Amino acid sequence: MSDFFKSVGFKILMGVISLLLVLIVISAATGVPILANVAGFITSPLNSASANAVKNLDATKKSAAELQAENDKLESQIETLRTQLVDYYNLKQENVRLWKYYDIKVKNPSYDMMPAAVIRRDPNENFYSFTADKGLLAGVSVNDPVITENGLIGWVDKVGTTTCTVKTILSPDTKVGVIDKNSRDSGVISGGTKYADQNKTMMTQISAKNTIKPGDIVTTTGIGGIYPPNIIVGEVSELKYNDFDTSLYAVIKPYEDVKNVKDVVIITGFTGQGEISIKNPLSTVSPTQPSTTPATGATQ
Amino acid sequence: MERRYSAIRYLAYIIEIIVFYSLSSTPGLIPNIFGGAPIFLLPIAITIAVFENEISGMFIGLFCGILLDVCGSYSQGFFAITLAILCFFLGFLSDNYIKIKFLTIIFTAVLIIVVLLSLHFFFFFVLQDYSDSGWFFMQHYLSRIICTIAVTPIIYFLNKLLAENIREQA
Repeated sequence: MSDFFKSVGFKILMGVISLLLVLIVISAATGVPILANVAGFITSPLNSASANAVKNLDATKKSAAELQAENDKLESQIETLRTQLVDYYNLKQENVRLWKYYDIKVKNPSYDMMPAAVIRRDPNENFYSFTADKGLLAGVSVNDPVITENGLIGWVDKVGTTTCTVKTILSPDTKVGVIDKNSRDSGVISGGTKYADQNKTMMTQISAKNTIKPGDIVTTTGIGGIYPPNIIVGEVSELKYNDFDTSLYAVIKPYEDVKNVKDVVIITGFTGQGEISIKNPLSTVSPTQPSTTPATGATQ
Repeated sequence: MERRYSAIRYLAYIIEIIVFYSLSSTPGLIPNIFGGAPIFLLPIAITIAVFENEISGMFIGLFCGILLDVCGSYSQGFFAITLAILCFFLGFLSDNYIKIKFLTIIFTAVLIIVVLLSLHFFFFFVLQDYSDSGWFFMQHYLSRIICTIAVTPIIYFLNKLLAENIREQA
């Protein structure tokens, strides 16, 4: 038995585990996912390619009657045309995607936006988080809001060099200050374990004297400087009481299919990002003056 | 000559791992079955480790674990560490103590899959203090475990084919 622990194999195992633990501690301390960055360089192009698949390639037939030289020439032309066709479809998809967000940009000129595509979903993932194909190099930071043309869908949880992990509003880790546009009641969006599969989330910390009713539209408040104000989150589906503490919460149905979203926009900057706009007479922190340039990397 | 066969065999393993990783992580490709989808890399790591020695098994487990951790939004390193250790010991045991039989390997794989995914549930759901943990386990993790176990025999035979045929014949 002692020979086993003295074997070269066991020493190598201990070395590898120690290295892994060091990398994990460094990643946790600095917030930089080292393993993900390294593996991302290898796997991201593959994920992008498989996510953008798949078209039926027209099978080409060689004519038996054509001369070999003419066949080679025609094959070369077909190859060129195929490449152009792939580029055409890619550009067409990108054009459609960008037109969707042009409207958002026109209404919100202060937003700095970065369109991104969903390239990876973890089969182990519990609350439909995903990986998008933009990272630090594209100017994405942790806590950047992620939206689609139908509203808010999440926030950037981790950022790698070329990719980022987005946590959705279906996750209990999400905390977004929201307001019911109809009744002016405020609350906090936080995912529920039983509602995530139904593409619904929860609005908690609602006042007992609220006048929220089903059908009301819920938007972000912008307080806290994490999310821009007036981004649609969804509409109220029903009001319920918590089984454990009898507090009231509203079930919110987002307008976007968060579980199956394919294209998103990451807001990398906006006017008011990072500001705390609540005036609390008991607070020892004085409220900040609005700045003209948006801050980045605000903490949640 | 054996080195050449080994190199080809490990290249085949790596291609297999990357292909299955791409299949499982591509959005919308593999549908959820009763709330869960198979995690192909777990049985792949386990079944390769039993056909190789402990060091190779460890690195295969490490590679599969890193890919699984890269996908997720949870802390890095859970699958990397656990699969590296488990595959190391699997390789050691299959080299020295246990015979590679279908039922033995499938039973071992089932045990490892159940334990690993249960640990994953404990660390990344229960300890995160999310509500309705029992319901969530039955709704998601149980189907994930069953789906992963269901694909294990196919992956076992695939890796057995690679391990036995891409090897210098005695």
